[in-house]
Amino acid sequence: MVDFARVQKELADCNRDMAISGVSIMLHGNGNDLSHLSGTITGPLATPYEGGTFQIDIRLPEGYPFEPPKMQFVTKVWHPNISSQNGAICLDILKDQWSPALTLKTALLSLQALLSAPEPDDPQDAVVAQQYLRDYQTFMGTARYWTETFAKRSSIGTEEKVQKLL
Amino acid sequence: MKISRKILDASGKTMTVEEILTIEIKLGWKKGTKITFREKGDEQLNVIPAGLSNKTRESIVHQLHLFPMDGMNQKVSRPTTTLLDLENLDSSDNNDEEISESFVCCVCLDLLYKPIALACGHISCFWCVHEAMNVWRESHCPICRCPYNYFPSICKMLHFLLLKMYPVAYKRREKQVLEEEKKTGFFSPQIDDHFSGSQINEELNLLSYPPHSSTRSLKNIYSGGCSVGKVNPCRVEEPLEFNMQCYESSTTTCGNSSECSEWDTKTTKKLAGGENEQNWTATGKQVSASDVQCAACKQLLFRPVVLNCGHVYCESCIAAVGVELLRCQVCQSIHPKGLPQVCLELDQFLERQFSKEYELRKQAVHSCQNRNASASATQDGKQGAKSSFLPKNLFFWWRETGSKVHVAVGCDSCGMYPIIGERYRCKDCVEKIGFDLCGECYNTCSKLPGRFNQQHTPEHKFELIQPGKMQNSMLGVLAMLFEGGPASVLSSDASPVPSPGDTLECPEYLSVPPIHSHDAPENQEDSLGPRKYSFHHLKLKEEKGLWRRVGVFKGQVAKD
Repeated sequence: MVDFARVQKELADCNRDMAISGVSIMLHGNGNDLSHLSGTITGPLATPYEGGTFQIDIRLPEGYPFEPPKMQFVTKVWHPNISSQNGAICLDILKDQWSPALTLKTALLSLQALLSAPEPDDPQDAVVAQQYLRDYQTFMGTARYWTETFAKRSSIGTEEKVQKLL
Repeated sequence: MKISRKILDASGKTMTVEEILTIEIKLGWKKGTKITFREKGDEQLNVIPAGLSNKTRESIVHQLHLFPMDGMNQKVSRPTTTLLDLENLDSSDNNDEEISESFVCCVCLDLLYKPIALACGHISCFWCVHEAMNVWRESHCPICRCPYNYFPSICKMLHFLLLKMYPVAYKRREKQVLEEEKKTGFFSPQIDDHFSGSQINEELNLLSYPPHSSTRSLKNIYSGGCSVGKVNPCRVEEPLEFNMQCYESSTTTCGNSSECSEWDTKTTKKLAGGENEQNWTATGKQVSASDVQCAACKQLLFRPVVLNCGHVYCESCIAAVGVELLRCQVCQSIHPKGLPQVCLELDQFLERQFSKEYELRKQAVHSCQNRNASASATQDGKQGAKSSFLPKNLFFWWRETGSKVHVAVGCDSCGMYPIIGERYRCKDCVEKIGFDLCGECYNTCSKLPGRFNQQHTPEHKFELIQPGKMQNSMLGVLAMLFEGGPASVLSSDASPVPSPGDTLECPEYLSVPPIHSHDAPENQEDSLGPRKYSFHHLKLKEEKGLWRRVGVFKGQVAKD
């Protein structure tokens, strides 16, 4: 059974300082299922992801917070630790290094940190990792292009959605 | 006025309910006054039990606010804020006192309830610690990942401190946890606050007792507190030289009431005589230094450490003992694995709350330490040694402990979890949670009545239980898969040769090697052992409890 009281608190806490932290969480697709959320992170500055807004699909397993949340990028990202196909993320805290003291907010912040510090030696997407290691310039170009194409448009989309809701 | 609104049930679905709200019109209300009914808005979204308001005289114009209302029921409404303004969620949820961040559990993010301090000094709620423990092997602190093998007892000093500081919030938590417990059928130990007329402090100073001799009276340090407790008040023969405060937890149910009341009066009299006379009431009085005193020096705690048994000492008082085996002076139970770390949250609280006394204590301890500079140097060395516990990979761990692991079963005396080695199960305890002892505690006679609310008594009989063969062979298979060849596993001594019935399960585990494949479909060729499997906590349906909660591989869960 997911601890919904905690999830509510986490949401409140996360969205309180979203302007500063650059991460926010909402319920998925305006539904009302607290175990299916949708997170947003802004691309860190001075990286090819700068200016992009990335959507992450968050599903809370039954055992949350004793089991890690399942996170996956919805926005396409060009990054060695994120699958370019399906957005699967390779990050230890979302696997075996999860701890119940971590929260959705800290996990999203870790994703933001992952964007600024790729780990090509422990890749999720081998093609991207190869490119990162062998041809860094092309990697940067592709990543920037993907940000332009996928992360910016979708960011306008979310803003529009928020506007509509208001 | 009749309204209908949507509410969320526990599973997250919405239901529509109709309610009638009455408005008392009061003098002095102007036209256009908005009335807000707190938490009567639709529950949906990440959101917000919003407030519903309407304007008087302007018939029924409902206006939904997308923020929760805090404080008063009637209130001039604020401009509508954005959908995501959830700031006041906490305060609207409950009208609790403001809770210091020091006392917020890192797991449930609520006020600590029945707090437990781990050896690294981090505090969590009883159930939060228990839930977060690993059923197979050593657990790690949620905050610092410091490994530990023992489930500590509740820190009662902290429990009563929190109850005193935040009576409303603590009672709310109590109710909430009790409801949860009723659902699961597993109960945490009851800490009776029967003595609400005097200071609550369960310390039982038994220094006058030779260890192991009087296990009978020690047995009753705390009890299940339910209706059938056969607890006798401790027959401690007045070790008056100690500033003794002895409380019995469930005297309400004790069989010998005359003895009980005699005890009661004795204790209260003694306390009344003491200079730190307390008037503990449920309404929450100012915390005084005597609520937070060291179990040894009886002064304000300075750099508090909490032992496995839940008793709190100054770091200097424990360090001064300086023996190999750290034994609690109050309850005589052994503290495993060296000196615990200072509980910093509590320390900071003390420094804030009692700055003057704290400063005095600091100076006193420092001057004392300067005198014993050489002694403290050796202790530092010891501290260093303690933290050098290296996590091993699954295979080596399995090889080492052999097949002696009782998965998801903990010792009710020392708290070892899971039990490694011999396990004795009580045949007479009827509680769902059961009562088990590790070999060592069985041989030295357990002094405590149980980690949960078991009504265990010394008359109960034990039986020796063999480790679950199936579970251990599963572990073996895992270790084999991730580490070495089959030969190494099978040759390891005492390897459980699974009986025919048990082996049925094994090939299925073999056939699902990339176990968490569906969260990470590709490129998961990295490390060994622990990374490759993940547990899904499942309660065994029959007889087994949370304490016995068994991690089941996802493969099996999916199949089920």
